[in-house]
Amino acid sequence: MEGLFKGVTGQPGMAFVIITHLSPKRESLLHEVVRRYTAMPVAVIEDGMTVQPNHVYVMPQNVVLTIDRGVLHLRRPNGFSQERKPIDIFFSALAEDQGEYAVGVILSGGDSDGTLGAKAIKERGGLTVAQMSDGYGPRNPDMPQSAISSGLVDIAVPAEEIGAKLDAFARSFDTLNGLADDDSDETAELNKVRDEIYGILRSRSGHDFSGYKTRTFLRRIKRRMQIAQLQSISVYIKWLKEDPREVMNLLRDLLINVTNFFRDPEAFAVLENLIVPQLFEGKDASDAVRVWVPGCATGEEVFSIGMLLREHMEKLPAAPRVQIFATDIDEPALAVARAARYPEALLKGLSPERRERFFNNDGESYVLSNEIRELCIFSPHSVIRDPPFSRMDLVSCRNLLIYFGTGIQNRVIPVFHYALKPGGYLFLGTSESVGQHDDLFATVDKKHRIFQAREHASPHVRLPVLIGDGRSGAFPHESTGARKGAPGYPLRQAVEAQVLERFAPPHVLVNGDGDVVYYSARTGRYLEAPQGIPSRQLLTMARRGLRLDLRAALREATTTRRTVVRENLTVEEDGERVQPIKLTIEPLAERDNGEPLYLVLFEPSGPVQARSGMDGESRESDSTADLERELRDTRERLQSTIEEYETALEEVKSSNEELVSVNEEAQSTNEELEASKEEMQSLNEELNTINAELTSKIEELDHANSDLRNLFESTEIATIFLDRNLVVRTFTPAASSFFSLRPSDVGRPLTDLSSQLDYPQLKPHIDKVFETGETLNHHLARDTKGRFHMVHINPYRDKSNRIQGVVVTLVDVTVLAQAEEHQQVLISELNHRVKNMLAVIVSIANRTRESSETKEEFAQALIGRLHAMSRAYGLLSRERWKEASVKKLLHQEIEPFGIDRFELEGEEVKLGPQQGLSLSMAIHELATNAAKYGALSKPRGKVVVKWSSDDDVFTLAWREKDGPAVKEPASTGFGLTLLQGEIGYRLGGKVETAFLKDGLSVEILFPANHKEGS
Amino acid sequence: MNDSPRVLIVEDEWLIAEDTAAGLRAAGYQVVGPVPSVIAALELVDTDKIDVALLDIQLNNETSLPIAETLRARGIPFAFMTGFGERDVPAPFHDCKYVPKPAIEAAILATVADLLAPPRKAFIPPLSQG
Repeated sequence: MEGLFKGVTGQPGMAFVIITHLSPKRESLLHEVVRRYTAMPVAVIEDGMTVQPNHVYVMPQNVVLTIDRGVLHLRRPNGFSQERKPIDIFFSALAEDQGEYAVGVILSGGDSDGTLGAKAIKERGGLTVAQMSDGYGPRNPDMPQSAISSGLVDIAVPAEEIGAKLDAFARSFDTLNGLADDDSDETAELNKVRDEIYGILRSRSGHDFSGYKTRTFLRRIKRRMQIAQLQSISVYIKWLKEDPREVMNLLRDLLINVTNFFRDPEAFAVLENLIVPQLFEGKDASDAVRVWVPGCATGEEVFSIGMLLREHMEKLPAAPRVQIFATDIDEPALAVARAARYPEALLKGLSPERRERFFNNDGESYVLSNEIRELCIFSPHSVIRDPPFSRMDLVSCRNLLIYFGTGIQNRVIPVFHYALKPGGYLFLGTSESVGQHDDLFATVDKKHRIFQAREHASPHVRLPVLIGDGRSGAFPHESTGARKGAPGYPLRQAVEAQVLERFAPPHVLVNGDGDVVYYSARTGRYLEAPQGIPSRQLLTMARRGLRLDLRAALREATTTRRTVVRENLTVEEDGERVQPIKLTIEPLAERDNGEPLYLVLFEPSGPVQARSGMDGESRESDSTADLERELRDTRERLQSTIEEYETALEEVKSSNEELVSVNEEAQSTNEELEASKEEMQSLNEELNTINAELTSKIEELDHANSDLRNLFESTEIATIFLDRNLVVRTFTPAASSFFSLRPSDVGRPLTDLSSQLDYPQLKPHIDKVFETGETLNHHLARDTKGRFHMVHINPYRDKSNRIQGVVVTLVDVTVLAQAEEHQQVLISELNHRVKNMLAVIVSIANRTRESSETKEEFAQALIGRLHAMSRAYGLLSRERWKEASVKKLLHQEIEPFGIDRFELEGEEVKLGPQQGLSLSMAIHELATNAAKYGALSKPRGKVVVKWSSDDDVFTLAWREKDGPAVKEPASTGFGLTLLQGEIGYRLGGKVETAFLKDGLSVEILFPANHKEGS
Repeated sequence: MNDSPRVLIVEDEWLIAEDTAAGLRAAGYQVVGPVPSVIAALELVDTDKIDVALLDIQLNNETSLPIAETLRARGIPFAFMTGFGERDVPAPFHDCKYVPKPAIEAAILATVADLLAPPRKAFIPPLSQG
C-alpha cells in the first residue's frame, strides 16, 4: 500500500477505492495510515458518496461495497456468511460501472478473492494489475498469485512500480482516444492496420479474427498499447511481429470472455437438445454418464453442462449417476471453481429461471446449489502431460485448444479420442476444430463444433507414465517432433552422411515410449509395418524374434540411461532363415530441452543361417523341430499376453489417474468438511452460550412466574385478564367466585361463563375501554351478601403500547362503604349535637336575661355559664366523650375562684359525659353564688366539697364555711333553678339545699349510671 | 285560661324545655310537663288532657317514637323538635311536622297553632338549619 501510493504523483486524475479483508469486529485505522503516504484527501466511505478524482476512499469494516454511476453504496452483510469476497463484488460492480476506465489492483492477501473480479474488469476492457513478489512483499501472496496464474492480469510488477504504471495508464487515455472511435477519419488506415494484425494472428496462431467486432478488436489493441505504453499503432504492429509472446497476450485478451455461463447459447442449445439426451440413452440408474471438461478454469463451463445434465436427469425416471471431471492446470482457478461462488455480474449468461433454480443469493454473491456442485469433481491435471481420463461420454474442451500450437493440438485431439468411449462426443469452442484428425472424429454439428468419436481407433496412444510427479503450470512449447534435416550440408557432413548410409548399421531414433522419431536407411530387415492403423511404435513394428528383447532392452536403457547391448539375437527372415544380430540401445547425448531420445542400432553379427542350422548343427531331428515349434508358439502366446498386459496397464493408468483426481476431490471435500466442522464447533459454542443465557432467562421467568402466581393467590383482589375477544387469559383465585371460573376455563370467552355479578354493562364497559384506552371505574350495587364492590377495567398494553386486552379488577369496598356510612352517621350526630347545644345556649341566654337586672349582670352571668360549658366540653373532648373525672371537673370549675379556698375530698370517680356536663354547670352555679353571696365573698370563707359513689348513686356535698350568714331567699334564683333542672330534671337526681347559719349546704344525688350515651 | 290549649313538651334538656315552656306560656298556652323521658310522657298522656304535643326525638338513652305512636293512636296532633335534619324523622312519621332546633319561638308558636287548626293545611317551610 505504502509503495503504491508513493508511486502515484500529485494529481493522477483517478479516484482510489481501498478494499480490505478486515475483521468485521475491529475498528479500521487504515485511512490514518494511508494519509501518511499520499497528498490526496483520504476519506472513509459513507453510503451514497460520489467518487471524485484525486481522492482516496477507504472501505469501513464489516460492509459490502458496490458502485453505481460513480456513487458508492454500502450494505451490511447479512452476517451468516464468513466467507466473503468483497473484492470480487466491488470489482465486478466497478467493471459494470466504469468499463474500460476501471482498474483493479490486487495487493497482498490470502484466498483467491479478486480473481473473478479481475476477470469481470478485463471482460469490460479495464486494466488489471497484481503485485508481483519481490524481496519485500507481498506478505501474503495467495491473492495476487491466484489472479496472475489465472492469466487475467495485464501487469504484474512489485508494489513500488504499480503507481507509475497506473499514472501512465491514466495518461494514455488522452493520447489514444481517437483509436477506437467509429467516426475516426483514419478509418481506411485503420482497416489496413487491422488487416495486418489479422494476418499476424492468423499466421502465428492459426485463428482468424476478421469476423471479430471491429470496435472490440480495436479496443483490445488499444489496451495492449496502453499496457505496453506505446504511442502509435505502427510501433505496436512492429512489436507484434517481433515478439510472439505479445501475439499470445493479444490472443488471450481477445478471447478473454469465453468462459461465461452458457457462452455461445446456440451451441449449448444444440448440446442440450441433441447431445445430452444421447448421453443418457439406454442407461439406467446403475450406469454412469461421465463427462470430462479439461481446462475448466473457474468452472462456468462445467457448471453450465452440470445444469443441462441435471435438468435432463429430472425428466428421467431412473437417472444414471453423473460424474463431471473438471480439470485444469491452474490450481487457484480450481479453488475458485470449487467454491462455486460468483458475483452477480458474472451470471449474465444465465436465464433468470436457472439463476433462481440453481443459485442461492447469500446477500453478497451467488452460490451454486449443491445439486449441481456435487456432480462435479475438480482436480489439477494437464491435458498434455498427464494420462487422460477414460471411458467418457462427453469431452467438453471449449477454447482451450486455441492457446495451443498446432503440434500440441495434434497430440491432444487423439488424447480426447482415447478418453472417449466409442461414439462419445467432443464439444469444442467456436473457433476450434479437430484439424486433420477426421479419421478419429466424425462431425455432428459443424457450426457448433460438436464431434463424435469414430469406433475404430488407434490402440496405441502412448500414455505418459509420469503419475503423481510435479505438474508445472506452463504449457510446453512445440513438442519435440521429427527434426527436419537442415539444408546446405558442408562437405564433412556430406561425407558423414554417405558413410552413415553406406557403412553404419541400420538404426532408428526413439523416444522413451518407443515411438520412432527417425529412421535410418535399410531398417526393413528388422522392422515391418504392423497390421492395422499405421504406427510409429517401434515395438509393434519389430520383426518376430526381436520384439521381446527389444522391449526388455529399451526398458533397461530408459530406466538406467545407459547403453544396453544385446548379443546373439536372431531375426527371422523369409520364415526359414534367421539372421543373428547385435542390438545396441544408446541414449542420445542430452540436448537442451525436450525428452530423452534413444538410438537403436541393429548390427548383423554373422551370416544368415537357415533356421535349422542356427545352433551350428544340421541335425534334422524331429524332436528339435518339435521343440522349436513349441518355443515359437510359446513366444507368440507370450507376445499376445504382453499386449494384453499393456492394454490393461494403460487402463490401469487411466483408472489410477481418475482415482488420483477423485482422491484430490475427496481431500478438498475433506478440507471443506474440516472448515465446516470448525464453523459448526464455533457455532455450537455460540449456541451453548445462548442456551445458557436462555436457561438463566427461563429461570428468571420461572421466578417471576411463581412470584406472580403467589401474588395472584395471596391477593384478595379478583382480577381477570381478557384478550381482545374477551377470552380469559388468566385470573386470580379470588376472581373464580365471581365468574364461576375454573382453571380449565382459560381460553374461553368470558361472555360464555355464567357470572355471579349483577353487572350487565360489563361488555359495553370493556368496549369503551378498548375505544378510549382509559381506565374505567364502576361501583357495583350491594350484592346478596351485603358486600360492596368496585370494578376497575384497565387496558392491557403490550410492549409496543397497543391495547391487547383488558384487566378487570373487582375490589371489595365494603369496609370503605361502611366507613363512609359511619362517617355520615357521625356527621349527622355532630350536626345534632351542635344544634342541640346552640338550642341550650339560646335557652341559657333567655333564662339569664330574665333573671338579670342589668346588662352587665346579664353579660357576666351568660359569659360565665358559657365558659363553664365550654370547659366541660373541653374536658370531655380530651376524654373522648367517654367519661369525665369528677376531680378534674371540680378543679376546672373552681380554679377561677381560687383553688386554695376549697377542700376537696373524694375518691376518683368517673361520670358519663352528660352527667359531667350537668355537674359542671351545677358546680359553676354554686361557685358563682358563693362568690357573690356566700363563703367566697368573705376573705376567710371556705368551701368543702365531698363526693362519693357507691353502686347506684353518686353523692356530692357542697358545704360553705366561715361565710356571711345566709338565709333562705324569698324566691329561688335562676342559679338554683338551673341546679335543680340540670340535676333533678336532666339527670333524674335530687338536690337538697340547707341554708345553715355559717353557710350554704347543698347535697347532690343522682344515679351513677355513667354508661349512658350522649 | 283553663280552656286555652294544653301543650305537652317532651324534652330531655332542661334549659330548652324550660325556655320552650316559657315561650308557650307567654303566648297563652297551658304547658303540660315538660318531661324528659318516655315513661313520664306516657303517664301524662294517660292522665292529663293534652291538645297538642311537641316531641324532642332523641331523649336521654331513648327516642320519643313510642310517644308519637301513642299520640297518633289517640288522634292528638304533635310535632317533632329536633336538631337532626328532616331525614332523621323516623320513616312512619315522615308526614309529621317538625321544628328544627335551635327553634325560634315564633316557629314553635306557628307550628302549635297550625296543629290546633286542622282544616288549615298551610305549609310551613322549614327554617334554615344552619
